[in-house]
Amino acid sequence: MSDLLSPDTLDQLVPSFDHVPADWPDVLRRGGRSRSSLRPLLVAAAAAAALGVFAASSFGQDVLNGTLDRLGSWVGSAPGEPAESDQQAAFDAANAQSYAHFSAGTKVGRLLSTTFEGEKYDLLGFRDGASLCLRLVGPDREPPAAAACVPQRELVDLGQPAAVVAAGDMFSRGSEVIATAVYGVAADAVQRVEIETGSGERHVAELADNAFLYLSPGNRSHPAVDSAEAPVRAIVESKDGSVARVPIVTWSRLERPAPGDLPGPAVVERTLDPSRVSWLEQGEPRGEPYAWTGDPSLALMTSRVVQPDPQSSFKMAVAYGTSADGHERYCFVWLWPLVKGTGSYGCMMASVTGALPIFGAGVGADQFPLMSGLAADEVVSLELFFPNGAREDVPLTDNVYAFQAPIAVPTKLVAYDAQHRVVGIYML
Amino acid sequence: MGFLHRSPGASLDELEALYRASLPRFRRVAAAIVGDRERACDVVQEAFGTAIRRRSSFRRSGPLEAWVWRLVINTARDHARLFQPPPEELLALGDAHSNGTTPLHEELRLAVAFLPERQRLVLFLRYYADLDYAAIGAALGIAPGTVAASLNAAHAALKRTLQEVSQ
Repeated sequence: MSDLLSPDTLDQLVPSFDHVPADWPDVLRRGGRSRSSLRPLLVAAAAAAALGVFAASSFGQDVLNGTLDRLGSWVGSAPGEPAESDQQAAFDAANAQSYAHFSAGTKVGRLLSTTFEGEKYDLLGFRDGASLCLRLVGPDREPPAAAACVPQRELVDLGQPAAVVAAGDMFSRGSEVIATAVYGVAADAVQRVEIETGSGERHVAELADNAFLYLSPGNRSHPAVDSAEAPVRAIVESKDGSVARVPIVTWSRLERPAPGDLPGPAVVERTLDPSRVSWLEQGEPRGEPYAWTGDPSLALMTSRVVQPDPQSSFKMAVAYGTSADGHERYCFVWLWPLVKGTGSYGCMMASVTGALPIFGAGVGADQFPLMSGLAADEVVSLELFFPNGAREDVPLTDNVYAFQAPIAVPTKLVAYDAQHRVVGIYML
Repeated sequence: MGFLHRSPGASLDELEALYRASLPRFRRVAAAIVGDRERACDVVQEAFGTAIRRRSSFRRSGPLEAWVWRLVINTARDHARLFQPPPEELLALGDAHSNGTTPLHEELRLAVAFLPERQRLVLFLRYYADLDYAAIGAALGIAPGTVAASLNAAHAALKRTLQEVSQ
């Protein structure tokens, strides 16, 4: 190397860090929580401006403090007041009838009650592992209401003082829809929530015990049904006077940005050949056995149930076999707690092209649909990136992954191989 | 087709030992990538936090240090993409930013910024982390021969730029 380009010269460009103290406890904190305290704030303003997703006067402060960490009514075994005994009993009965179950002894609380057009509605709440769950019960609901669950960490990561969990929960009488509900959770600091519709009108939501609920007559779940009255955002006012606008999407996702527009890797570093799910084809006894209830024409070779996220009661049955057309298939059945029977199923060719095909599915939390599927053998970890710089590790167990992504905010899923090379990037 | 083999992963003790032994080197390379000392410290903290969360996925197919280097580099690159102005803006920044630095240093900084990314990373890992070619290759997922070629190309490009400046 010439004198012009000596190590000393380079030293002056980036001086040594020898005397800057270490902070291992901070590393441990970050290892326990999925984001740094600095990064989201730094990234928030640029990302919000670039994407136009968030518009809150207290945005930076919300990101820093994670206001949905502060849910006073959710402290204890159940949120709010204890549910009425018949409501708890109905919950227990529905929980017993579904294939997947919430923990035995789950206590249900009542967050708010209201009467709408002469009918009584109760918004119930309970915890499932690391998730907050809401369940709206009202007139003539058969089959029983599913639960709308969202990991609390994800709510915090979004950096807003409130989150809309469901925006198209409908109640019917015969063939007539009598009400459509919008509901969600709100931080301690929130004093008012309004739901704005496509026409620009605002409607005050009921707010109590860190939850809010807005009911409107008829079917207001989709702009194709009623573009003027379908909800488009929640206007959330906090006690300090700040106002946040939380987007609601009832029709389709936002336009997807390019990978480089969101934090996280933007380039695939290794392209995978079409791959398989070895353990499933080899018939390894992973998870639990499952009496297959999906496609009846499948000549079954393996059928197991996997719980991809130990912090959630959702389970997925996966199967390998040959379909009637002679093709080898991987098939799935989604198994939701409180949903009687064994849910819907889907199949794909038994070859994973790319790192992971993604299947959207969900009951209850329509603003946080569940994304799940089978990842290729080469995929060892998955990470979800948000526009504000937050990121989460996505649960992946025995090639089965499942996570919830906010429908109104663009996110990026990144798949890594064992050498931490990026093998797949998916804009959601 | 083989079965999936689950690795034992990395232990917290191993990660802490690596952190304490090599922190200045990690921070220095991060600073070279993101261009800011404070953010570099945050990058390394974040990367080790990620390492803790993902330690079960470390499969011991290579050295732990190489795996962590990859996390640090990727985290720093994420930060750099979001915050660092593109090289053409660095030129203007360099013109207006000469307090305390000589023109030669400014030119060197710009010349490094204009290097292709792989050459730049190889240069940083060689000089700021003092890694040998094999370790750099393991950290970046490239062959040692590619490391040598990248380093030679980086030297040649920087020398060419600096000779032009000194003339």
